[in-house]
Amino acid sequence: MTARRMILWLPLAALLLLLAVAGVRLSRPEAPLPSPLVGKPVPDFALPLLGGDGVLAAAALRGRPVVVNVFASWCVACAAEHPVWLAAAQEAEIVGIAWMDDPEKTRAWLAERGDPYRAVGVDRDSRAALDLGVTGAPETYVLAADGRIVFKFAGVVTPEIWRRRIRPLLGGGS
Amino acid sequence: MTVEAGHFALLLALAFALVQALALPVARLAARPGLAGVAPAAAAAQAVAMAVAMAALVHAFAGSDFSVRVVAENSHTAKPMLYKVAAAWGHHEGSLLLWATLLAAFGGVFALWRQGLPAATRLYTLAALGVVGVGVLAFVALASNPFDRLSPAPIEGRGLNPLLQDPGLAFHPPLLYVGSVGVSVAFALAVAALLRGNLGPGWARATRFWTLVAWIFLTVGIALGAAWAYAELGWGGWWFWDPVENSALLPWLSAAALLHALGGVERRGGAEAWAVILAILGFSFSLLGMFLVRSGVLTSVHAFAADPLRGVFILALFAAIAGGALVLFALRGGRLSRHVAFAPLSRDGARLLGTVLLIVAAGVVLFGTVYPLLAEALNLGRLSVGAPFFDATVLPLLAPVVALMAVGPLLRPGRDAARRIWPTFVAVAAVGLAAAGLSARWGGWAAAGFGLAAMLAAGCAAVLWAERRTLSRRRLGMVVAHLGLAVGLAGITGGSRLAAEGIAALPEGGALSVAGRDFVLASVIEVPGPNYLARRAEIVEAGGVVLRPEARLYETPRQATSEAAIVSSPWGDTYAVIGESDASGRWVVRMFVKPLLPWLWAGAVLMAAGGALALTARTAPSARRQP
Amino acid sequence: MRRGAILALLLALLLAPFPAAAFGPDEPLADPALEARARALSKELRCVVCQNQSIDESDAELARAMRGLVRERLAAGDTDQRVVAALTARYGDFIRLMPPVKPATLPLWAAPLLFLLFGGAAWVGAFRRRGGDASAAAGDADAAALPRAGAVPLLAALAVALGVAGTAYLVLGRPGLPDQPVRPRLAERQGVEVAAIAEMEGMATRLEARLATHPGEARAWAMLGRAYLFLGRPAQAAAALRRGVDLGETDAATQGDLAEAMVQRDQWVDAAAEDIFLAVLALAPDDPRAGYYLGVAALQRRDVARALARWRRAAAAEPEGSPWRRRLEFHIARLAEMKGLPPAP
Repeated sequence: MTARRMILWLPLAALLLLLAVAGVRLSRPEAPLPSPLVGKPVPDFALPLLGGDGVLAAAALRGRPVVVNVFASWCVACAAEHPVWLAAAQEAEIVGIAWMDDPEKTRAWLAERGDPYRAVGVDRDSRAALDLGVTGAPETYVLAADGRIVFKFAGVVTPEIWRRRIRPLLGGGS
Repeated sequence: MTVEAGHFALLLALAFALVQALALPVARLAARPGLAGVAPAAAAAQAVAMAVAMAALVHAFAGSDFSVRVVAENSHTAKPMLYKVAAAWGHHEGSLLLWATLLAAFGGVFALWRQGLPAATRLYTLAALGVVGVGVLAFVALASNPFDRLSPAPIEGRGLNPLLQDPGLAFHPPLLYVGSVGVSVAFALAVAALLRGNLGPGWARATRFWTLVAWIFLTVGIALGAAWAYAELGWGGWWFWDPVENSALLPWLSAAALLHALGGVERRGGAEAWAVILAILGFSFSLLGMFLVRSGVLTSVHAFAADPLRGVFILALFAAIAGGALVLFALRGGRLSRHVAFAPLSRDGARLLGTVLLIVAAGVVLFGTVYPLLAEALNLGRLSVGAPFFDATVLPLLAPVVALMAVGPLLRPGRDAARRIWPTFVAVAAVGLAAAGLSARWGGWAAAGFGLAAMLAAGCAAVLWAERRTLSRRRLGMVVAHLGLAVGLAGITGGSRLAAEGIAALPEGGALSVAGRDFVLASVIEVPGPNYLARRAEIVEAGGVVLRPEARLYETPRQATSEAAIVSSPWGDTYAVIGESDASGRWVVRMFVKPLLPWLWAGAVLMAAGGALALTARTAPSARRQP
Repeated sequence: MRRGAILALLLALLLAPFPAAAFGPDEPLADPALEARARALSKELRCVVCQNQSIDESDAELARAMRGLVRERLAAGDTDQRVVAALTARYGDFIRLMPPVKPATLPLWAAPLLFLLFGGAAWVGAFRRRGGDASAAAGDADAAALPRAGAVPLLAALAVALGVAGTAYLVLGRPGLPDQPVRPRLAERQGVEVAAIAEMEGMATRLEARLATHPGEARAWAMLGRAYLFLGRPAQAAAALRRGVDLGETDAATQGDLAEAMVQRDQWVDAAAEDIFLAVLALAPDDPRAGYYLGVAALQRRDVARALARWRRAAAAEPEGSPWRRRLEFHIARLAEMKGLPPAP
């Protein structure tokens, strides 16, 4: 008898589960897509340098903490976070990856706004971006001295995020 | 003052809904049964008031009254009149007002039409509809009011998007709404049955009527949406297992299940609890779809602008309405019979099994759609559940439903004997196997699709033959609807499994070969439109079709759109899209050949027509009267 | 269902910060078997910047890059599994539209089977026992006729409803605010009867229809543009007048209307509009409108002296008391007053 009665409560139980899930989802904003690369060595990429011969290679970024910033001249939000990098360039090594962008436009963009990057790699066909798991611009990665990715941030880096979350990862050394 | 009159009418409708919901409880509490008689009048008055409110909003859109906020945000003086009017329901507030108007209209018709239902059933049903009305109208008035005003009013609206101007887009949502609102009557009848403790006379027939109305509109609405996507999105797809598409599919599946469950209940009784829970599920799915579309909890190409506060309101509404009904079901459902008076091997037994499979499929669709949310809530990581999952799980669940549809109607009601029916079964199955064998060279999916379609068509033919002298209109409707599914299934299979496509950058005069047919890009000319400049390609097949796809550049605002060219014949579609030109003056041409695809639309029309035939049929007088 | 489709899809296409690129002719691999594998694989990979689309159907540039990567790896001899594994290592399981079977997805993959077993058991169970729990005989409440509410309850209910709605309306409504349909407002702004607006709308519709079949008629384009301008649709007006001018309707009035439409559209006299007004002055040196807007352009550059000079020349060429002269004199006086200059040179 009880088992047969229990079946009547089943739809209600399913509804409550659904409501709980929807409630959780409404109560907290969608988390950014977590990157499985955090904690792993940075994938090996090699990009031509903007304005000159040579290569920006992942291997050459070892030995000290480095900030890698994915940006583009077509990206409005990148212009919004740019002042942060201009200010941060004094205290950290920042490397840029110009994503899906015409090098001419990148150059003009940097000439107009100032160039905070130690080096800029040109990634027109997204190969490095796909290796890094980029989902949009701007996006920022922090590489530890041993070449591991220790932090990833998708979106506009504010001075607050720079101070609280990125700079502490760079250690005192830089 | 029509705008303000509309606003007042909306609030008046809310008040009438309140009266409608409270009339019966008040009558009981005051021990004055006569008071309950107010409910039908209130339902009718609510319908009239909502018609006035909706008309006022349409009037504001037609006259471009930009002092109404939603008009300023969603319309523009440069829109053709048809799209000005359609813009009245082309946004969150207006579409919700239309939803509420349809709900009131259904309630009004139900209130005035006896349908052979006893007074108690009608009063309970009206009270349940009143509660739903109060919830939806409170949401409209308090959190989504379309009659918000702007003062001073802007001189021009912001809603000029040439891409939204499409007849399919103007009429597909209202049709779908009629369907998803229509299931509310069956829901309210189910609540009434639970409150009564039994179904009472006429319940199954009335529920079947309203469910059939809703199902017909859901069928047409979903098909129109798919047809729009096929014609406009430019890559030849028509169904994407998108969360919002899924949430339109759920009420359709459960309404189809309810229709078939009711056949048994109406004729021989039994499985009453099953019919009642299906009716509750149908409208709950409908409300869930509303939540998913309007709250932004799921990423979907269909979502309205996300508004978490509205999301909370709709979630509460959904929780209250669906939750209330399911609590009632848990408490009172035990009084309804759960067992049946027919044998498993019988028309009714097959039908019952079909309803179970339909609901299992609906359950998988629902679970797959919300599983990413569940995984995230439990911190299991971010997941995607997309088309490949649904193809792999839902289609195998629906395949046996099609097989059941082929053989079930051939069985006798109540009880049948295996030795009587097996030759027919073997014949029907043989037709299916033959078709599957013939189409096996296109792969397993094609074999399954064509095999099942042929089997279903053979089953339908067998019913027509066996009952050629006695076929009632209602049976004919069933056969036509089932045949529609067979035709549609063939269209789906041909249009996807036999499809071919080609893409090339062609100079003028260049040729592209797709599925053994040669197409030549004869010319590309520039054609001015009223507010756009189009590049129109002429693609010619030697001795065959001529296609003229366009790429349009609109000037205000600057937007590029692509107008695919589709030439249909009974044997398939030829579909062409023109893209950009490269530096050497060649044009990107993408072409699809989709055999049998038009059968999909023909199938949907047949299904709706079958439903309409059954709807207008008089119930057989020999139908057993319900206890 | 689909109505938001468009909206969101279009918004996604238009506003997405990504360059769009549909499936291109350079993408397919030469080997048909390999290409078929690439297509099948692409349908199972999610475009991470899109709303629920596979990379196969997405126009996003990132999806295109991913399609390229998939094909490159397949061409290099990778198995399907290895391609998927490589992308999963970078983006996580989120990228797989066909979720992998693992502990986190076990409920998902088990659901179809569990639901089916449960449904099957319920179906079998329905036949197990006959009768017994069939619903009770017809209830007491099967009276066919509804209870009749008397006039008093009906009127009372109506009064309650009116009271509730009235109270709510006083809180939510704007009782003092009349309708403001756009035709009378336009008529008032243009100083004409409402009928004239309707007539102009009719004319615009007829011209649109004519131009759909005779797109080369310069005069019709110019007339359509003027109608739009009159109806307060400067963006459309500018487009139509531009076509008219390009097709040869280059008289001063048409060019002036074009430039005015551009100014009304942009709320700014930009360089393009300024050039057209200069061309107008070359054709008709006394054109007051061109003089007025060129003065405005000068003011935008903070060149007060040049603005005053433009306006004074334009005003001097107009007959005393004409609308343009009154308008120009008004602006000259205001500007001079603000800058502390004498109103006349």
